[in-house]
Amino acid sequence: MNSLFSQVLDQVNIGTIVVDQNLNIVIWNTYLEQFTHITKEQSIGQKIQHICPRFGEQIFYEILQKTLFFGQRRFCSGALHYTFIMPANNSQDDIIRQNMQIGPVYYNDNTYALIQIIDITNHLNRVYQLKNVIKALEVENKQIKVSERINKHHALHDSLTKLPNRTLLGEQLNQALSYARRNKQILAVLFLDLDEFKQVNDNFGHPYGDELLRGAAERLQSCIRKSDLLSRLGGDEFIIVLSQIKTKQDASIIAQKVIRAFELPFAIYDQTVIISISIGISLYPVDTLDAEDLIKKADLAMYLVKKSNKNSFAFFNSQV
Amino acid sequence: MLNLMQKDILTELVNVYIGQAANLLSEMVTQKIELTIPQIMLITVSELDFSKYQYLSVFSSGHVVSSSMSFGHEFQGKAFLVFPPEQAKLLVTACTGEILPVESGNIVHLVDTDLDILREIGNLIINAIIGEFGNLLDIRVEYSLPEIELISFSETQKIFLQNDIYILVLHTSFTLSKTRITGAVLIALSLNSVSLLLEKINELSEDLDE
Repeated sequence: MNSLFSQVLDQVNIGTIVVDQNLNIVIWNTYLEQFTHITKEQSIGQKIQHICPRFGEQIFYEILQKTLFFGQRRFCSGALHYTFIMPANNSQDDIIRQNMQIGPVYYNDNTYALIQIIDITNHLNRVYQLKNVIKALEVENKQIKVSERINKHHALHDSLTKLPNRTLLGEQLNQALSYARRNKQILAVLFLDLDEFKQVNDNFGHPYGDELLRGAAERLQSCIRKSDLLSRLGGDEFIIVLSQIKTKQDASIIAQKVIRAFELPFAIYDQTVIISISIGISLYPVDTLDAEDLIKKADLAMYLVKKSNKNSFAFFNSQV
Repeated sequence: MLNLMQKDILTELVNVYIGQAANLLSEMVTQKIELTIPQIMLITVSELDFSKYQYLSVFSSGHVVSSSMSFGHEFQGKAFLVFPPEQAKLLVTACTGEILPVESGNIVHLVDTDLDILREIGNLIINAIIGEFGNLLDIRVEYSLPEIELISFSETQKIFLQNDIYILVLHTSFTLSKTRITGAVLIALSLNSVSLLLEKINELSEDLDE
């Protein structure tokens, strides 16, 4: 029996120790001889804590006792406890991780503790490498998501005034229309165009024109409620969508408010610029039910204002 | 299933046992860990309706991490320490002193070293409780090595689907480094084992009455 079992035991790739109830080592396999350079002759018959100091520590001493006297089985993870058996010529830099299993063995009325030491260093290294890869991927993913958000914002907003652009306006107007439809409300689209804006660019240069557009956007924003929409279509054209209004009158009140707001001059760098604004208004559902058509009709009404007196507003009129 | 007196005695006993486990655990991870069992129930398999125990956070999610051990001889059964995955992850990171990254959404990555640690914690706690039950009953208990698995809700129920099995549900609360982690210990016991335990507890309560 001795030869077969001990041969098998010596070929097992797991550190195998058996101790008796006096903590004397009974079995010390070849794996351990090679790993620690402590031979069977040196270890067998010795107290385990003399050969493996960790088993002299309170925690592991108690675990051994509980196995030998209460039959408990324990699993100790290398992730928490690192190393149980130190290798020969261990340099401090080597990080070695071992799992340990311990359980009772009963033979000839005696109780022994079987200690198995399983090296998980390579395995753990791979786990940590994988963890790092996952972490790096997560960071990258986060960055991509952020830049996606930024790109999306760019795609839907005007870079000069930061207002929603034509694309976003289309989406938002459609949402506002379905809301109005559901709640049987009316809705107004205001098409706004600065009067003689081209002259500002021609007289002072584009930086002044850009600054004026930014100022105009701010001033328009101050004239509307949070629930209303303001968008820049391009050039000096803006759109305001007034949802949740009760009457046509409400739309003209806002239009008057905007026109009055443009009576005050704009301070652009070293210049003072006075500019007025023309507004055309279309109404849902009276003029049309379609979003595009609402904008088109408001544009038409604005065009007529421009042609006559500017600096004022008019509602779309199908008769004209 | 348990009368008030039995429940009180059992709660007190397991809290003493688990206190010892907490000390061992604290030494292992070199930080103070407190363990308490605020709730105890003894139910039969047929009564095991997880939807009724929603207040145990363990049962509210689809999956649980379970560290289980069988034990045998006269006192026989199987014990499970179960956590919802995110609680399990919290516990592991608190034990290793790692900083828990802010996870996006509900994704919890449990790698196998995490499972090793949970296996060890389950091992320690179950040993403490079952071992002390063994002492209380003056019975030698044999244990298996702990197994760890990620099981889904319905499977948890299936484990117990045998007749004459009683389940002792111990709601477990870990407190460490300002973190509170909740899980549960489920102990499935044979009818004989439950009778042994209840007899002993009744003896204890009679001692108290005298």
